[in-house]
Amino acid sequence: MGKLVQVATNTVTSAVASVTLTGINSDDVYMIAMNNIVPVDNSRNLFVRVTKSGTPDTTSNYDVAGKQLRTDTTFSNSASTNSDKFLIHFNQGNLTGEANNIIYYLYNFNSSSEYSFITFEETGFNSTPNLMGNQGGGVHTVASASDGVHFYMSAGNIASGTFTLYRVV
Amino acid sequence: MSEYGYIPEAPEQSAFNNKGIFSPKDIYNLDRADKWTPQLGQLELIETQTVSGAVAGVDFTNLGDYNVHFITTHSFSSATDFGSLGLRVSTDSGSSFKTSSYQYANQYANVGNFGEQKSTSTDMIRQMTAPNSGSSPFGSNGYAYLYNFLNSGKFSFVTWHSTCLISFNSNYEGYFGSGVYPVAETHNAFRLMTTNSSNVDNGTISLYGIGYS
Repeated sequence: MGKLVQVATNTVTSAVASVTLTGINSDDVYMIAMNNIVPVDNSRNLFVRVTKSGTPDTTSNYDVAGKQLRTDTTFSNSASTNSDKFLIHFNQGNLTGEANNIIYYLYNFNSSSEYSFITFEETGFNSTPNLMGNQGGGVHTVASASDGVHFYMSAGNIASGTFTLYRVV
Repeated sequence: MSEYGYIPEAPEQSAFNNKGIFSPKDIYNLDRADKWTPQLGQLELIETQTVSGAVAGVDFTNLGDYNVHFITTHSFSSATDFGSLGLRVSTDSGSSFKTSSYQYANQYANVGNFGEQKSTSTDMIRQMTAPNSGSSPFGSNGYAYLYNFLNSGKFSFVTWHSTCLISFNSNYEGYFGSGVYPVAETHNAFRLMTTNSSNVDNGTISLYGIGYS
């Protein structure tokens, strides 16, 4: 099993509009661990973009497919193509004890000739609240190097959370 | 002479950008100043337990001090068929384990069919592996992430992904899902056990802390 080397981390303890983790500068696989992610406002989506030279890429080149595993109803599929962001994390709750917890693996981000791929697995409570898991993958279909990941809420701020980027060596 | 005493003089130091020759004192001081590149091993092994005879459960009572934990399971099997891997949490360092109010949602993928399993009120976080018994090539292999177990203000969450050959029909089956014990309190130990009340018959389980998470 490989080891993890921390590259960047950001712990949010008072509300911020976004979090950006950068520092991807090798061809290794990278991992992001997120825990206690809570929006200021209930029922918000956590949006995600890759960064190019530290700046979020807002072009419509994000594809994603995932399975939502939930306790309240039949599991659902979600998929989107050519969005201007990764649409992965939905309807997040902010009541006592609730928080979203997520692992990403990042592939080919440092390559200037390949697309940037991610896999994700998530667990948390939605705003109902019900247990909501989410597993799947996505791709940013631009063949250029990505050096990080940018997170922000669909509306309002991020209230709390720890975001940590690791290099898998 | 630079601030830390190494050669060359006065290079600008920061994590992942250290330059020069360092004495142990330099490293200590740089680390305290948060300017030292963390060493490898931030996936930090806490404990490995190997089961080679029937036990009621595999208890982990030392969780260290981490926000996120990671466990791997290798060749996990129950003493009888239809026992998959389940998890219970403890607030008293493993003297007792919570027996109700768990929730989980799991997707399985079998060579014959796909399906979902879920509950909003059950006796453990269930279905972390396929139901399995017997020894190699049977037994389940997989991993799980544990979140916020030591955070008194947050629920304790788990995600998992596992893969195996099922002993009673030799079919391949994979599982992935998530679960929660939705009580905001510190959980300083947990038990891995079977979901059909039989013993754990076999398996190697390692617990890691993800440093600086």
